[in-house]
Amino acid sequence: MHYINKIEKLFCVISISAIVVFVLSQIFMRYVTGSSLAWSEELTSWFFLWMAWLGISANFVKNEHISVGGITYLFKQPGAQAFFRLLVTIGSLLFLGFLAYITYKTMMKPFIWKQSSIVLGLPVYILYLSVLFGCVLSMIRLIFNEIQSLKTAE
Amino acid sequence: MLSLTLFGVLFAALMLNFPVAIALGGSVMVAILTVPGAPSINTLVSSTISLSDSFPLIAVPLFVLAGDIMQTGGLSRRLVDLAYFMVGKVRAGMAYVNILASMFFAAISGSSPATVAAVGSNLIPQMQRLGYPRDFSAALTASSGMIGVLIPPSIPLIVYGVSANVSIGALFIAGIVPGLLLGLFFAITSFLLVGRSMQEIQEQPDELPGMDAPETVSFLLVLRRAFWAILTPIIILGGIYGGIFTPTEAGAIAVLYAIVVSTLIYRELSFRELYDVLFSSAKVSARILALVLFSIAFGRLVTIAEIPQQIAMSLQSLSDNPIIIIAMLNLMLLIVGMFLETISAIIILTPILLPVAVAAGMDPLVFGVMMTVNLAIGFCTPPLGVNLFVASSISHISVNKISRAILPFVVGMLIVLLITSYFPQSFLFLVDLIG
Repeated sequence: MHYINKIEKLFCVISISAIVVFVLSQIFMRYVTGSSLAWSEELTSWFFLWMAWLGISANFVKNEHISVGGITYLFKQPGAQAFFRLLVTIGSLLFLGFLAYITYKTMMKPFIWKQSSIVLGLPVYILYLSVLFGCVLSMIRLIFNEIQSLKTAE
Repeated sequence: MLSLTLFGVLFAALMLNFPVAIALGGSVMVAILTVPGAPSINTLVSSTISLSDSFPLIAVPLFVLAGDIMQTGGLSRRLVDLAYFMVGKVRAGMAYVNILASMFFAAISGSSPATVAAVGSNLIPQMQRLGYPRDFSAALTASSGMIGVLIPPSIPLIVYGVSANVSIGALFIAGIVPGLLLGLFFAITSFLLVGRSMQEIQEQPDELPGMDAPETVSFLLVLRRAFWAILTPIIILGGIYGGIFTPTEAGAIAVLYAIVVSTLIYRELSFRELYDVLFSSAKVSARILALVLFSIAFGRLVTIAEIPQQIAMSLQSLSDNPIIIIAMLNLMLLIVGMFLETISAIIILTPILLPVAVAAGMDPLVFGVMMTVNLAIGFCTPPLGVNLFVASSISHISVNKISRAILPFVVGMLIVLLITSYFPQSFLFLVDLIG
């Protein structure tokens, strides 16, 4: 788990750095050569999507996603808290699992599998792959955390 | 049926403490799978990769990152020093320092809790040492933090601009006047509070740890130290409105500038720290982007279910007077703002309420600013006020106590809300002037 976190961190950092560098190079090129770079714009948005999905799963490590928490504050007993947490974990797993499944199905459709991007000609499934990675990594974290907290409860 | 399922699942999931992003996506998924005649599941799949064609949203991680680097690299501390030298030596001086420093920081950061953290960690301990009551300092810091999302850059305004299809540049200018007005009203409130009940405050601090005593350092020196920090908003705003670059590009310039200043000029940012800052900014942005992702599918279902029309009709059956409709919209936004985090609220409510506001004759630009003020007030009010939580963890005062101490400041917030709702000329003139 430690290594997954570290590698994910590295790729998050690479993605956000790439966004900064590509956007800067766009400004630079526009003023120096007078024409903007179509390929760097495309790469920026691809890195952006990857950063978002890797970041989404990274936020599951310490459960840092934004949540509201209405009625769970009313029940202070540890048992009730554990129950709600388990409910959220299972619900989230179902959602992410199904999302990963339909994303995979969509990705495998021939016209998407063979589609390539407009500027660089990169395969479009790389975009869907970010969703798949994000969902699966999030699920691993959810399961890991749930096991950890069940262990400490015992 | 579609709207009932959508909102039923969303509400239940939010109450059960599901992450908001999953609650949004989950409600779309359940609605699509169970309601006959709902759009196909492709709506959800295509929304998950939709970020790849939204260039304006790339401004979000860039401005988050720029703000984080400036906080770590010592820019925010120098801004506090500068504010101290400008207004620190009069009655209630430290309160003005707090407000002014928040405004400075707001101009380089787009987030409200970040402003509270940056200014509060520098100033709450200082104010306490000078005899300001701790709950007052914490409440003031939490309040002036909301200026962070009004003075540009502003993450909520970027997100609103994307979901309402309004120019982000114009929104940024429109936020300036309400931000300044908030500062003014907080200053008046502090002046009155300090005058009445806080006699024991030392007005002339001899020395403040971490700050240079006024006698030993000249104003020019402090100004020169803060110079690079003060230049940031000038570069960002000047670049956007001079037509040199887009808001997204301005974000990248701000990051580059922040890195150069903190590593080469102030030399307070190590490579190790930069690596961590990059990661935490990516994480903070992803939290916001997760909401944006699923809100696209959510918004589409809201439109298909004709929910805005239903709300508009029920509001119009109560009254057809735009003044009353705007008042009801405000009330709704204030209540939602108390319970929902700002970005989530913008994302859920824009597709629902913007058509209603437009039908009442409101400019989408004005609605965006009004919504942001409303939701920013929610930052400072219980039960879910992020600014309160941040101020509480810095000052070690309970959220309860700060919530009570913040009440006088809420008056000023409500006055500014009324001005933005009913007298939009007060900030639109600036948009006409610059934009």
